[in-house]
Amino acid sequence: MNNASHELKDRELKDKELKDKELKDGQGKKVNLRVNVGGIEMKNPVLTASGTFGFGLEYAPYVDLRALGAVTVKGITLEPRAGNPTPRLWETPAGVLNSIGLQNPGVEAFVRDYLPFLRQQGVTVIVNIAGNTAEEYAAVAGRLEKEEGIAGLEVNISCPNVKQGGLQFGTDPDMAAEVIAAVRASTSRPVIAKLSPNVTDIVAIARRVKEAGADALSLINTLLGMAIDVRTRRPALANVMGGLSGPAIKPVALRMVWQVAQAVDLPIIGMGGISNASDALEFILAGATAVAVGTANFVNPRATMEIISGLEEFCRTEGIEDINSLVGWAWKQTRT
Amino acid sequence: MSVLCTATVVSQREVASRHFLLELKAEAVAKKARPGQFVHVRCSDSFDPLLRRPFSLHRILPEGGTIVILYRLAGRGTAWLASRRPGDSVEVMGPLGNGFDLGRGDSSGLTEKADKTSRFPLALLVGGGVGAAPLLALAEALRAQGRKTVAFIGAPSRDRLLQVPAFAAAGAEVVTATDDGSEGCRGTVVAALENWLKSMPASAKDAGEGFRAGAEVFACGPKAMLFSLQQLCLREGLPLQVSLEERMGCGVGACLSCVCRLRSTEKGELKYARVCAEGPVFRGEEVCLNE
Repeated sequence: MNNASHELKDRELKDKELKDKELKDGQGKKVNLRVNVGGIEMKNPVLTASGTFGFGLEYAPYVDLRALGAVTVKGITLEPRAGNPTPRLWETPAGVLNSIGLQNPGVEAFVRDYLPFLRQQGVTVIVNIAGNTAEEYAAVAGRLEKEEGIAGLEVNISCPNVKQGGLQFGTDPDMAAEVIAAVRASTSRPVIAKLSPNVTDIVAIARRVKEAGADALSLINTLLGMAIDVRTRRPALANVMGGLSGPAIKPVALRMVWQVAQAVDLPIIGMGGISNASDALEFILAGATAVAVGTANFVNPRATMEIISGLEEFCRTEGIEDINSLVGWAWKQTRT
Repeated sequence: MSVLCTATVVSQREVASRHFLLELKAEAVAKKARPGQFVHVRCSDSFDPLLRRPFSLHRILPEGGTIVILYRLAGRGTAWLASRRPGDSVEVMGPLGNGFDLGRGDSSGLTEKADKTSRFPLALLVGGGVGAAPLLALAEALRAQGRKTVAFIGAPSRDRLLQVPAFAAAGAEVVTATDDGSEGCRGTVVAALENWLKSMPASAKDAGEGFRAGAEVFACGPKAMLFSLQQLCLREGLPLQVSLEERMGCGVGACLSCVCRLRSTEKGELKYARVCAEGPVFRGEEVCLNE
């Protein structure tokens, strides 16, 4: 038997063990955590947020990657990018400012060096893609089209840390729609638009990307911010401004999920400061079908695992059979 | 492989003004760690301060299942850490990073793999300020290899010199340097090394198999110090390994925050390496230290 079939056998055995364990734990009344986000089937609604989880393998010593709803990898561009000068990171009250500048090995190296590991592990993979022009986004999507083991694409039209592309696409409804339409035309896979919170009316942008063909939304990317180092009397980040993440931004993210979920009929992946199961539940109750954990991975690498078991326990204690029934509960219930 | 664990404080004491020595019971880490690696430590009970803090391993004591870190009280995270008492719990992740290349081919990140124990019988350790931290674990490992070690320890003043008796106890010959001249050589630790090199007898320096071919430099300290040391080692033709310090996010190579710039390749392209993953130890000739 060759290595590949050994691995397959191992996986089958592990799957069986997992199933047996689930049955035993549930004592018959199994809670359904499975969700479908714009055509992407996930075993539970807990993902990792792009840029905070590398290509998955960095966290493999701490997390069973297959137990995650999905892994969203670091943003990938057509060509490799070196990224921004340092300092790239600055801690703020209950948050972090970053300006990485989309450092990544480029789509070819991603496909060659990182995707095979994730595919072999049986991870549900979402590839975050970025570019300087709508054509570049489309080219990355097109290049990934021939590769197996990718469940969907998350289109990053909201990175605050690059000069071209990124945020400028995400804050202009016409440009946002142009990028999403270009990606839509280049891929058969589910397309998730990752939106920026740095706008006056996020609902307007969400509507436009839906018209352009998005299957789901990721809400939110980081909030544009800055800090000054009083010792040097200069901006703390080399790139001056950066994206704020962490618990500090959770109320803003939750408000945007609440607004968009009621106005636009698309599944939402909620993210922004989620650190525990209670945070995740807030986003689900606000209307998110799934949630992504970002900065919390740095603080507690097992945050995702704890959130998955916390959600299951909440449902069991509250007598909820299907987690999908909680999506948007907070506004659905106040309306009736 | 790195582990996540809840460590217990064994002891904590202030060894110099605002510098602490913390011993933690963390068996899984102590068993696997190598000199030059680090641990990523939660320094908070809440979300504020939020991020873990990286600390290089000052001592690795697998027999007792403990690790020791030497740290400077620099902000809110280290203030929280300094308030831990024996018996308290601390969340530790590690060992992380590549560690120093001790020439036995067991260092993950560095490329040269030949057995250098014989090539470099003399190890010169250069520590500026709290940069002395990773060098004690190294000195202890070098002694086990039977290599002669000279440790150059620098600080602003006598009361800030760190762990001089511990380096001596680890078998190193210690040369101290203080900015104000209150102990040892007056001036920087790099100047102290330079003078020491000049004082070596010519025969020891020039013999083909002798001094030049047999010495290797290991260093940790402020960037400016490492830059002048890098220039000195390039001039003198001495191999150099530097342990770098950077603000870190994840500590495992995922967030790309703690990068350092690599010296230009032939093509002159800009390249960064992750201090937490490819480092924290780099070859002196491969990193940019003057920015």
